[in-house]
Amino acid sequence: MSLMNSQKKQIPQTDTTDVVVIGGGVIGSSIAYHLARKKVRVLLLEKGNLADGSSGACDGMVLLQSKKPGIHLQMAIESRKRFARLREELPLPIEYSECGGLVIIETKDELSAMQQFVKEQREMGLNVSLLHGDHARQLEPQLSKHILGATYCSLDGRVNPILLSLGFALGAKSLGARVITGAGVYHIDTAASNLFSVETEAGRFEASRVINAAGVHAPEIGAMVGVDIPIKPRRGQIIVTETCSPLLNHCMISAKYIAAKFNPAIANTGGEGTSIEQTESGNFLIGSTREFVGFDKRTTADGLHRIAANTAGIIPAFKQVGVIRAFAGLRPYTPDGMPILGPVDDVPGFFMAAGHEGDGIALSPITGELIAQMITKGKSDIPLDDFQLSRFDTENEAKEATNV
Amino acid sequence: MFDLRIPSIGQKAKIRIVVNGRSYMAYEGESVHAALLAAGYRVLRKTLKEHQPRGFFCGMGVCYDCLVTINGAPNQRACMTQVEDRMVIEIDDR
Repeated sequence: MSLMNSQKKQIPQTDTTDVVVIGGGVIGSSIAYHLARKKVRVLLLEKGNLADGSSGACDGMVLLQSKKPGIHLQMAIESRKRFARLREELPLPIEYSECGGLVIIETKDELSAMQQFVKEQREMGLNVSLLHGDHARQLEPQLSKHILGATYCSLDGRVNPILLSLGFALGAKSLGARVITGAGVYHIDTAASNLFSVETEAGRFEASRVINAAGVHAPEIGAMVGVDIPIKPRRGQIIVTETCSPLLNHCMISAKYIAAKFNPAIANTGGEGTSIEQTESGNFLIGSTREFVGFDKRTTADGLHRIAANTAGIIPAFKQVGVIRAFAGLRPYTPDGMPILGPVDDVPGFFMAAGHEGDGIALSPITGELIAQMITKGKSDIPLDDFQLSRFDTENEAKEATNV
Repeated sequence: MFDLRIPSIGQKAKIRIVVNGRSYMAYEGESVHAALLAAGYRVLRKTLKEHQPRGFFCGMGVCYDCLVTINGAPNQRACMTQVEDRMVIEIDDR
């Protein structure tokens, strides 16, 4: 493949560029793409292959409804607007479609929680409606009889996450960015002022700016420059079914999923909920668990059984659909469910762009654009203040105080 | 409708099957493949990406070209499934 060419051998011992992006997932690739568009000399370093971490082991939903009302939702709304353009612009078919999304409500508690959620989303200008059970079943006839209702947003969609990620990287490359795979970073030297020396398995690279887009591995990169990053891997197992004729009209998640995302206690007691998406090739991606098990990417019989049971409860027709395989990916979890974006106060020139948990695919277009603006203009169209790493400082200080 | 079955061959009891909402007569012991062929169906599905027609090819369970939805279960081989009374078969040849 042209992405994995023999560049490695041609690189001299030390190599200088303007910006080094660490991490060839969807976030790093998007940043590289947006920087290359602005004619910035950018180098994308990936320790394995492009999109072979979380970005290649996830579903492809681009949901607005699952975002916290506030800046998080505002980012998602802006991000979604960019997908149609990217579909034309990127060199790969990203399979973006605006299929509309449903959040499935099964209990009275979920109903009242979603009423509040919808109210806040509507106040932010998102056109979401709350449908009663029968109305939801009119839209999606396969829904089970016990479903109390659903919220609906016509702007929700889906994309092929791997093609999106590779599309950004390939697009960046065609605009002049350099992409090096097999370049795991093991040391960052910050001794020289205004210059980072990034040592990798593929040689040493110097740049005045370094962007940490290493996803679940962002804390390891942070540690190299003395920064504590509170990202933890959260495993999501996903089932892949055989291809079927179009069975569902929308992509959907259960209201439990939203609850579980913002409240880990509910994930443990009330179940993780489910997400359902039919891909362009006709397979269903059904997810997902949300587990803290370190960097273990194995699937478990128990986890897959839970997903299958949850999903068949919502769409009984799934009982008849064959499963062909399953996989797990690690979502970069942060304590408050929001990504960490922008410059890091203590290390001038070092930027964060990680910790999107399950929103990385949906937020990748806006993340790449805003980080590129930060690099070139020192500010971004949407202020990133709320996403700064320093928001966790007080928490850390409090923790240190109790440890003493 | 014109029946393609060979009249001289003895048949078991008559049953009804439903194909894409239309009712057809079939005989007990026939495969779904045979019943659909007798009812005049040639294209059983289209491929997902190129929308090429697919129908009966090997007739013995190997090629997976004759996949139809039977009683709600997608991707069932017509040639390996026997008809049952009131079986509902869906052919997605859009």
